[in-house]
Amino acid sequence: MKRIGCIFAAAALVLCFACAVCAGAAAEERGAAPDVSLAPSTGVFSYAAEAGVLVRLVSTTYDIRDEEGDPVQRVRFELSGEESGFTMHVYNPSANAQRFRVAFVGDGARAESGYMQVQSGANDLAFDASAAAGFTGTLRAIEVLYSAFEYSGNSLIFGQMTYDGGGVAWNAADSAWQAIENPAVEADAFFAEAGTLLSQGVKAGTWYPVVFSTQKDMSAYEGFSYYIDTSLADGQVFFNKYVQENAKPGETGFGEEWYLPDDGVAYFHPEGGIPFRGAANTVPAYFKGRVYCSFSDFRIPSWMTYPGNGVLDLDDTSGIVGMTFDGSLGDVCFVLRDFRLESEVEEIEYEGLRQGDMSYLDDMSSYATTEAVAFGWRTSWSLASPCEVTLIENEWATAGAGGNALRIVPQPAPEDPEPDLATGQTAATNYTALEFFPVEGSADIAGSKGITFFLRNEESEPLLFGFEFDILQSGVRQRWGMKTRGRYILYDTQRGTQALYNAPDRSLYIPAGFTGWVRVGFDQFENPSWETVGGAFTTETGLAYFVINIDTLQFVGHSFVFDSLAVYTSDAGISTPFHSADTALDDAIGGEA
Amino acid sequence: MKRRWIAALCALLLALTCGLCACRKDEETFTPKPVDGIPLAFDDGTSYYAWAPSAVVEGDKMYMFYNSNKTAGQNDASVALRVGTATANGWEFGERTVVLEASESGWDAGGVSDADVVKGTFSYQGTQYSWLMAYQGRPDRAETEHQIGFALANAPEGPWVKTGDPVIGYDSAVTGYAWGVGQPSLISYDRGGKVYLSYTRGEALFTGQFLAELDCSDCAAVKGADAAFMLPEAGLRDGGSGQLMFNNAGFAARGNDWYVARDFNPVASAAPSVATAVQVAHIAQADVYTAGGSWTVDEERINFLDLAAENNNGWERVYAASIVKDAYGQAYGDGITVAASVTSYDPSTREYLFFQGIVLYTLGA
Repeated sequence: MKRIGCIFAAAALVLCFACAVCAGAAAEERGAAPDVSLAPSTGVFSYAAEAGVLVRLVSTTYDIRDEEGDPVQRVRFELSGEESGFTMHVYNPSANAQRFRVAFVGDGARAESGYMQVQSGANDLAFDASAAAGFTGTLRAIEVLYSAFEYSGNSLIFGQMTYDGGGVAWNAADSAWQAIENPAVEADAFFAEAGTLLSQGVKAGTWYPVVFSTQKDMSAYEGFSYYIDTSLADGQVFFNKYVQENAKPGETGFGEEWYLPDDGVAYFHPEGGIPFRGAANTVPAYFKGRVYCSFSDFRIPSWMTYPGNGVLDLDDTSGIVGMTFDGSLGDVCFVLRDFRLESEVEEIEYEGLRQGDMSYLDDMSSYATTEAVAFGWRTSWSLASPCEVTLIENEWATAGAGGNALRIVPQPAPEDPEPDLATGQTAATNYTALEFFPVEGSADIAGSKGITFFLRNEESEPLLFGFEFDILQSGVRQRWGMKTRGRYILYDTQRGTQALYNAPDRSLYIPAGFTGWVRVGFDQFENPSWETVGGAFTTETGLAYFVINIDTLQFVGHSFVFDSLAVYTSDAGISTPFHSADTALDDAIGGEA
Repeated sequence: MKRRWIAALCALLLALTCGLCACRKDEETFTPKPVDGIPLAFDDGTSYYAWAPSAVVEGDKMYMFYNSNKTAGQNDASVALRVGTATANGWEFGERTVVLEASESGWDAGGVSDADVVKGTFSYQGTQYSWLMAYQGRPDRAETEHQIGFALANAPEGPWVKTGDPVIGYDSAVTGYAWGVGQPSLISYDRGGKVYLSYTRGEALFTGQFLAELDCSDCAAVKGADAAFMLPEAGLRDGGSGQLMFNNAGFAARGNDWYVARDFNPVASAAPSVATAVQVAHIAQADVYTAGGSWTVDEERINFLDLAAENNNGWERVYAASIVKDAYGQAYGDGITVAASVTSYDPSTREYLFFQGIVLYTLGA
């Protein structure tokens, strides 16, 4: 039998118990393409790149235990060859030795190795399943078994698996992409042969090339796409994307570089979700799916001074498309793979949902499942009290609110949180920080006069509901929070009551059982004392962030429903027998404003 | 230090010794209330309490509605009235009459209190009335689940006819078991059937002063009760470092301004746990709806109300006040006159219920 050495370039995989979340196997859009995913991690970027990848991460689970009854993390790699022997590089980032076991899975057979001890740093390990007691047949998969108890908080990185079985190539025929070597990552030279690792080894401020195309003539394509999974990221992931032309005759230096501008667009196709138009270079956290970019959206940035003809010459590119990642952002974990040139990129028009005087920031309609809600709403700050967020049907629908809604239940502060490396803070807070980032990076709120949303207090006790938001000041986020005694309208659509309230201590008082709309004018907000970004409030630069803050000492387990976050444009107010508001609240939310 | 109080106590003890304790009204012996500061507007004696006044002047009469008990020595919360006549020596009040009592059952079966009245044109079940009373009721003796209802009459003296269900309701089953809504204060909007109704709303985590704009032309179908404006708090001042609490307030209009007499919080930490002072402030009426609306304080603390000529400390509790106004809610007279509750208390038991009385005080006088 012919033995074919096959380097699995991209299996830089980290098992990290601190973030024990099952990454799962991403559903494949294309049958031949493998799933490659990451176990929970911090500071590691990984992608499957070179043709010939055989590694398929099937699951990361805790459903098995070792002989001492402690949970064991299991990572399964499916193989497609015929041989039973393989080698695997294992990098142990810990200063101490660690151990794990390997299970060999064959056709109807499963056998486990003894403990494999790996020293600090790089280790080359060789396995022969056929030598394992009880194993017969063809090796179909291997499982790495790693004690979640023994090594809690540690990690192992598996990479560069050499499998003697050969395999199938994926995307070899239609993918113009390949991985590049990465000599810059000297600290992680273990992974330098192929694939890319971005981690703490990336120097701050480095714009780090992630992938290049080798196809020079791209004139037959409208754009490109890539699969990305940011479900393990702490926040959104930012990529620059550029095309570099070859220098034309008469031009000096490099050719023109065309960038996808930050305020440009990309088209996001979430797995199982509704495609949407989003920010060009920012991938939201918790996104899983394919992102399409159109060459027609590329521009020469103002700082680019190389001479050129001002035309994107796709037929003569050099290095063609690069995607760069800002290493200064620190630890970010995501999966990026399956790059494709696209002969056609379907543009998605922005259809800002409007109803009455409201322009929705999120009407919750794009979430198909509770899991998908995490794409839009999440708690990324490790020290914040988490929230249990469930996608539900809005049973209390009114004009302007209905369909999907979120049921939010604040949870206790984390007992052993990851420290905030940016501030050095280690203690958990008794406040939620349930965040929302507009899909386009910032939402257009020009001309609006305030924020509104639908809320139902499901408890028989009142709720103090706090929220803040960020606008952009010269591209930098600037926080705004409720003034003490700021005024707001509560329109209870179930009881038919309208009331103007003064906010006690910067939080909205929501009476028990309240069901309806909350409206707060922008003039009821001010900068928190800690805000250092200056500038007067404006709606012209966009809203980039919204966060719900609730005291979990007081309101842990307090259930409420949240829906239809929007900005409003009218002066709708409360009408009485003595006077009528310029716009009635019913008209404002009902489509006649 | 409380010579008058001691004298009153001695008198009370004497009365008890002599077996003259008033158990039946026809056997009552009048014992004056102890006085620690300026004189009471009238004295109901120590068998009847008097507090939370609302004083309306029409012609040469002052109609003083206040919380009292119907039965001597019993806390059967009712609304009483005394009619005052202007004299050279000030207001001289006539006999006390109970004008509103708790219902046999229902939302106000536990007691009625904090009444305020306004003149206008009102109808109910086919009958026209010229006076509207807003009052606070509760279903039982607990100081919870208060709601606001209406009564109608053709003269301040009554008879007053209740209109039934609460106009400003509080559903504890939905909103949570709490104090509720109460302490109403009325100002006429048009000298007809439209009135401003301000009231306190007290819930588990929140107390605030609200305003409703009501069309009471037909009191069987009051319009506007579904809308409320929480009044601005900016400019008002409380003692201590806690959050300002705007409650227990009486309002009157003057020109384009509204005046308020409100409890100066926090209340005393020791019984009687009521406010030690009231505050008077005013605001442009149009500003009660605006984000930037702010009060101007006219007198930060009306407290003690001592008489310099007398050797005492003054009233140590001054609370539950209102502004004396005309029949339509306009501030009466040239100045601002406040009708306030005051009380002495038994220093050993700190009991004070039947020592509560009412004083009249004119700012700057």
